[in-house]
This record gives sequence, structure tokens and C-alpha cells, in this order.
Amino acid sequence: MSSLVYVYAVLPRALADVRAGIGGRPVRWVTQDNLAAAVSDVPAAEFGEAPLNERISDMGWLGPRAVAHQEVNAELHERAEAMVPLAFGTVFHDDDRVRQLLRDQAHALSGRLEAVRGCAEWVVALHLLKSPEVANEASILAARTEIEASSPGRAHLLRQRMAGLERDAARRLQADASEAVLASLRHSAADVYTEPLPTDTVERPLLRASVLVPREGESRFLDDIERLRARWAEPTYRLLLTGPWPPYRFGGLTDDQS
Amino acid sequence: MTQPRVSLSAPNADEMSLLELADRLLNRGVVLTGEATLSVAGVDLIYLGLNVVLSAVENLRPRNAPAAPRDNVT
Repeated sequence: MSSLVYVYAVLPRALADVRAGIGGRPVRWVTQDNLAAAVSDVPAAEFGEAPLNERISDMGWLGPRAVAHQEVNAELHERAEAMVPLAFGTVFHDDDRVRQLLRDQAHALSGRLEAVRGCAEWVVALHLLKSPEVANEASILAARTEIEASSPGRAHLLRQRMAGLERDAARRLQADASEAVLASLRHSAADVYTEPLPTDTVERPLLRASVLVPREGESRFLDDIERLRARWAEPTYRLLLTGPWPPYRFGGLTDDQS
Repeated sequence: MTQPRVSLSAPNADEMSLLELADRLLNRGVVLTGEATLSVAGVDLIYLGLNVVLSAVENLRPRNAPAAPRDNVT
């Protein structure tokens, strides 16, 4: 059966005795100058372009393979000072093609390795669970005062506008929350990348960000997150955090994106 | 070895965790983006079109479940 070469990550040098990769196949190394790619062999029948694109939205197929991809990268990330994890499904025909990538992209890859050295990636999401309380907002208080002081006819008109004012005030508070969280992340992380928000999902987060955090500053970062969570608390907001991840996002960003 | 410390409150916890994983692994965090992909594609890199990957992630999301009850950690 013909096989292809699956690349997990690029490191400055090879590591010995890495756990098995996708399908239980051993992880081996393809090296070129000052770079080493962690690879394993995968069947062409599954990882060729057409079969891969066909299978990738099948969770039953993707699940164990994505987990294997992540487990290899988690170990490499744990053991190496610097690593650039690649996306799932980065496949080459043979080792020579991998070497060619390492040669052609040597400069970019080295730069990315330096950018993420000693760091892990975290994902922070701020969700809105219910509309924020607006009764004490200045615009609402002012409108109520005006209603009380108005003639019945005018008061009726003003009351009809109230819903719009409340919606605007809630929107402002949400935007403030999202900006405050983002500003705090920018302060406590080495780098922040705001993720595009999903548009077709039921629960749309106010903010979703990948953040790059030095491993040695991790406990301080987690303290900062706890403070944010206390400030933007349930039942109105929910702050979610996952990590530490290998730097999938920051390892892949090009200069003009970061 | 450290796995991302994800604890989940959703009933279908495994699925959400896989979604989070798929989001990281399949999403735009591709090292071979832009110019790099093009130049490498010329030498037979089998590479997933970015659009294919993105729609794959969207399709993974259960239609009637919220996309985000992956809960946190600390």
C-alpha cells in the first residue's frame, strides 16, 4: 500500500523517543540544516488530497487522527523550547518534499520558531448569556426622568422609544466588556490574535482571542484570567479558557497578520 | 505530557472537546498559508484548500447545539 509523509511540526532539532503518531505509526524526523520535521507515514488511500477532503468532515474519522496529531504535538511542545505545529492534514509525497519545504521556508520557519519560543497558546472566549442590566445606565435614567416630567401624551411617545434606548445601552455595555477583556489580554500576554467570530452558530461569542503566553508567566496569566472572570461574571457573561496549546495559531501567522 | 486542560460542562463533552481540537488544528493556523502554500504546491505538496478546511470545521458543529459550551479550566 502506498504511503505519504504526514508532518506534525517543525523544530530546531530532532527529539528522541517521541510517542507514536497517527495510526500508531512511529514518529521519525526529516532534517535539513537547522530544522527538523516530525513526521510519520500515513496511507495514501486516506491522506491523498481527494480522500482526505472527503473524510475530514466525518468526526468519526477525524477524531482519533486529530487526537493523535495533537498528542504528538503536545509532547513536542512539552519537551522542546521552540516548535511550530502544523495544521492537521499537512501531507507530502515523500521525505525529499519535506526537506524541500524546510529548505525553501527556512527563513520563515526559523522566524516563527523564535516568535513562539518558550510560549504556549491559550484561547479566551467571552460569551453573553443574557442581556446586561441597563436600568442604571445614564441614558436610561435620563429618559425615565424625562418621562416623569412630561405630559401624558409626550410620556407615551418617549416610552415607545425606550426599547430602542435599552437595546443601544445593552449593545454599548457588551462592546465595553469585549474591549475591556481584550485590553487586559493585550496587557498580560506576549501576543493576542482576535479570531473572526462564527456567524452561523446559535451562541455567538462577543470576543474570541488566541493569546500567546510565556510558559514561565503562566500562573500570572491565569490569575489575570480569574480576575477577568470575576469582573465579567455570570449570569450575564461567561469567560471561557482553553490551553495550554502548542502554538498552532501563532506558529502559523504570517507577519502581516500578527 | 500535558494535554490542553479542557474540562467540559456540556453533556456531549467529548464532541465539544473534539470541536475545540478541530478548531485549533483545522482553522486558519496553518503554517503553510499564503505565499508559502503556493510555492510549495508547485512541488506536489498535498494541501487542503483553506475553504475546504474552514467549511469542514463549520460542518462539524452540531446543527442545533451551541457552538461554544466548552468550559474552562482553572
